[in-house]
Amino acid sequence: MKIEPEKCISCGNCVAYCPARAIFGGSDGTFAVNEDVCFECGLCRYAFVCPEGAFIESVGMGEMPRIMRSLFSDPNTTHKSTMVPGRGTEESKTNDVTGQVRRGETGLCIELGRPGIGCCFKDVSLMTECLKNTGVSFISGNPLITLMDKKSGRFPEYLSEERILSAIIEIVFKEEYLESVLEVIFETGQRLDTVFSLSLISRFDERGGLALLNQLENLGIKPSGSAKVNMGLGFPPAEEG
Amino acid sequence: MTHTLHRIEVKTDLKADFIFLCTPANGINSRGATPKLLRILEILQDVGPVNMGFYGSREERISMESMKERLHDNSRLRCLFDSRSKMTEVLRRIKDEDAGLSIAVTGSLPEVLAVAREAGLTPHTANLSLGVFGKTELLPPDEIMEVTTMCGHGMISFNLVRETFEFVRKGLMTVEEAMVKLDQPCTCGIVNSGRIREILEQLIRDSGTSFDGGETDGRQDIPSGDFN
Repeated sequence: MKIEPEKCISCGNCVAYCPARAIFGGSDGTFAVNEDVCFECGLCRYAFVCPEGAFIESVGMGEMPRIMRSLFSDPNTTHKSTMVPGRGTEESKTNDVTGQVRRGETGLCIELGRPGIGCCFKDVSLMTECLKNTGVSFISGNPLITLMDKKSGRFPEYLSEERILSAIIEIVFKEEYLESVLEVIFETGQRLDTVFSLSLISRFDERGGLALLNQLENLGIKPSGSAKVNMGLGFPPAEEG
Repeated sequence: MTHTLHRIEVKTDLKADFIFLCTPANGINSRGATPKLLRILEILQDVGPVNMGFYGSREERISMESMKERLHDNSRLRCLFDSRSKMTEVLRRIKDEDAGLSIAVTGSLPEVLAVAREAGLTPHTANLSLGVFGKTELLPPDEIMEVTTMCGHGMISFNLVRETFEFVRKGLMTVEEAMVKLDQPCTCGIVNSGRIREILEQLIRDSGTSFDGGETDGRQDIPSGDFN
């Protein structure tokens, strides 16, 4: 995004709203956007941020690679590749009908840049390349997958410096590999220039328990307390396999 | 994605924090989902969430009637309840409706499991937050993240919370004004303003607390336009 100087009334209201911390004051009292830093999340176009409507799209906003910033930052966009809104898949929300993660399997969602720091595609590429070598499956339908080289797990070089609010890598694997996969994630995480939020998807067992909680405890990992639970009301039910 | 997950508890907890999600599965049961979504939306309206948004809306908030008009087969319903009994009632009524759409609830795991039990449901899958890793030294204090993590899309900036906290602490903004200001960036309508109220009231009681006094990128002392 950028600001039309003639429309800016120098109120400075936009500065604190910007999740990218990309807006700065100039010597003439008006404000401007550092477009290298901007996530293109589009929040600044809202009237409560800029009552004058001074924000306009950056040059090249609708084209590659700039458009990727918006697709992975603005919650009001839908990826043409998946027709699913948001940055990831429906994951556990519809697992009762999609069966993406079955009994005996574990899903992990590694969301780079979250909370609130953002990341570049080079961070995403580093993590996916390392995960590719572990043999995990990347969950289909995730918009990242359409951009990733399937053999190497890398992302195109021209995307490397594109800044986004977050990208969620979704993987699934047999549950006995949890420890080794987590080891790779934590080791790679130390080499990132950002943070990542991690969550684990698991089916409830026949008795309504989550056996993986014990496995996590043995690994010294304590879930934070926040959880999303699929209530099993979807139809037709996913086949067990 | 997991925008409802990863909320953190610092000055408040998640005991009164239930995010409802109804998601037609794209290509599986999404075709013809509109009337089912409409019925579920009517149940939600009847029970009364404390917050609700609508995907694709660029307005600050849209009315329930407008939401109904805009529903389509791939619409997703998201809203927030701050009452366990209301959340249970919604699930019980949707179970009776037998619409066949996937329903998920995000909150504290023991609370959500209790709600499922009370509604007579057998939970299918859990997505558990394991926390934040990597370069965590980049993060602000937990008190600020307690608010920003209410919008998993990251639309509530650290600086907005920092600035709003300071305005309230200095008496330049009321708690009610601050609640509105911090809710606005989240168009999904899942921010828990009740928890924000609690945080702010604790802040006032503990006056003198400064939320890290961090940089606000060039406008440290410039009040927001709304409060000039």
